[in-house]
Amino acid sequence: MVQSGGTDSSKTRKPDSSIKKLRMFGLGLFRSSHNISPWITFLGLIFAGLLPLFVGAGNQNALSQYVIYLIWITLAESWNLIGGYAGLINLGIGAFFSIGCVISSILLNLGVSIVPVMLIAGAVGAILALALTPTFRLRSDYFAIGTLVVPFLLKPLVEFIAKKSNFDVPIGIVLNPTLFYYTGLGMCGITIFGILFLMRSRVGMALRGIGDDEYASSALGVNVLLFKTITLVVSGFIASVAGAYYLGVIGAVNTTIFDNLSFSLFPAFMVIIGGIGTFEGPILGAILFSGVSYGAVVYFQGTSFEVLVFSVMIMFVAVVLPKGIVPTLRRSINKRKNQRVTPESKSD
Amino acid sequence: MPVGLTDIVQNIVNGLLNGGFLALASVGLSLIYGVQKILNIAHGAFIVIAAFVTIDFSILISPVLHLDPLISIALDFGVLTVFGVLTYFGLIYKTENKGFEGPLLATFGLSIFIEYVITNGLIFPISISPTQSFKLVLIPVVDPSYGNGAIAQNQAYSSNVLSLGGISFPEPQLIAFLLAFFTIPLLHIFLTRTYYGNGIRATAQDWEAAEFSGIDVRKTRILSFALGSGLAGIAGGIYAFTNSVFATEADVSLLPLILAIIILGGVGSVIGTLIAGLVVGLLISGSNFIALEVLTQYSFPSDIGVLLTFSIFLIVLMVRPSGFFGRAVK
Repeated sequence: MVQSGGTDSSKTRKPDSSIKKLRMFGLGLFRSSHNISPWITFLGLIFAGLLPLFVGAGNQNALSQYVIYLIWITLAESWNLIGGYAGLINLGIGAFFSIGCVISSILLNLGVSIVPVMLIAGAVGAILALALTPTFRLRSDYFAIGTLVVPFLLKPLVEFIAKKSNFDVPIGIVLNPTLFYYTGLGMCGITIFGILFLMRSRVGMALRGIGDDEYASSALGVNVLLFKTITLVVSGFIASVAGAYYLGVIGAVNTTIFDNLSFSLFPAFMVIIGGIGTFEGPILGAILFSGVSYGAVVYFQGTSFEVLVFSVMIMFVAVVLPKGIVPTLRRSINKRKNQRVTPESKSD
Repeated sequence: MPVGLTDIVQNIVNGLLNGGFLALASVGLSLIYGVQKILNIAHGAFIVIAAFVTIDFSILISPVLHLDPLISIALDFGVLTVFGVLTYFGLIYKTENKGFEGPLLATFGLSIFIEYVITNGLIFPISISPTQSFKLVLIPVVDPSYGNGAIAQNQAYSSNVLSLGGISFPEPQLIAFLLAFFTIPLLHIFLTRTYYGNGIRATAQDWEAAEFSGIDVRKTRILSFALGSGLAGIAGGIYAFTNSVFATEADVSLLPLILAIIILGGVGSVIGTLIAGLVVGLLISGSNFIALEVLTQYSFPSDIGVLLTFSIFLIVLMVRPSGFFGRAVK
């Protein structure tokens, strides 16, 4: 079900010496020569790092709109780890995201700067993920239903503990836009390549195995519960970090954010539009989705027409392109390759 | 603060009356989820559509034709059945065999779409040139208050309150409860006594075996989806009479509760859903009563009942995923 990044066709190929050297220098994660997407992503990140120079220090509004892309990419990556690779349809990502927002507000009010705040919020998200590990008893669709309810459970809990429902950034703190942008870029880059690295490691192998067939992996001696817990904790950590960062964008948050199904379901949608369980899928899906919704906001100024645009887009993609862009493209490329292969080599 | 026996009985009555509505709202989704194993996220939005049909009926049609607004519940059932069939062919038919998340996302898109259309109408701003533009109106705004719920609040069926020994029964809630108690057993009889009902139950248990036994599984799925949507229509009509309807909030506050009830009652079990609905209604009103009236010194949040319901729901989901009345899950 889950497509590995084109590594299956490399069985017969010998790795050439240059790639061996790369691997020696610990750059093995860029190894497969016919999968250039990590390189493209890397270049994209470098370009994004140079962006403030082009935009200009005076035009900070322009910079803040790119921040949204970074947040959605991070969230989509987080969902792809658990929903794509490990095959657990987690519809409660919004819970981690919202709790990150709330923690961020509390800590910023105490005078902590944004990067430690994000890390602490991530730790809280990881603890929340550990508290949710009993949900692994559930079968796939029951797991989805169980996790869908988690944000609604957390909302009264947060209101009860904090005794308030409005959380905001103190007025005294003005976040430097350029620095804030680079923080987000760092978060996004570390997430993308951290997950790439994780998926190329032993943990990633186990996760792909669990995603393909849980019982078979268990029979082969994979500790399914341990690896599922690792996935949930890592994805919860990432989502909470993204939430903590998001508060810097919106400035204030109400506990009604827990009721917002969008933060749980949009990441899933972005991953599915791009290609579930692929490296490129979440990045492509998040950029496409935020691009279209941002374009609609600009084009239909003053109305909430963009809601209509992306609701139609969600329905269209779910019906017409259920496998996503990347796997569909990959399949058509493979088909073309197979047509070129002679009958003799095809028979073996 | 002294709490009398009347207060406690009144609280139980309120819980039961609310529980009847919750059961009716859940039973349709329980049927759909039981038969097709698809989660219709738009179920809450379906209820909102029906609520606005009722509101518009009682504002526009019933004063003119001197009809009782209660008739609109039959209209809701019809409208939502048609809407369910359209949804099935538009979104579910293509996606239902491609895993759990396909229909989920499609119906999520549908629910956003419905919310938008109810509050803003389906109006396309089309610009021909920078100076000239016109609006193409396909569907006018359905919500008479443009999403504020201000007019909708006044659409309660009646403000009569029946009083029986110091305990008050508000008439709209009573009608809702009786309607739920009438509809759900009727559905149970349909499912257990008729050919099509047996077909639905057989498809829910094992659709391949049902197909081998000569049941048209495709038709059965359409039937169950239409019936489930129609039941959402009845629930929506009741919702308009008893609550203030907000186009943007109704599905958010209803859907998680509905999910909790269908799991607690056991997926596909109609009577189980009814009992679970009543239990959840009692639980919410009871815990709210205890937290806000008896243990006032702790200043609990107002939605402590919801917190408790979801906690119990998660525990039940983990300990016994088939619910209290459902068949064992493989």
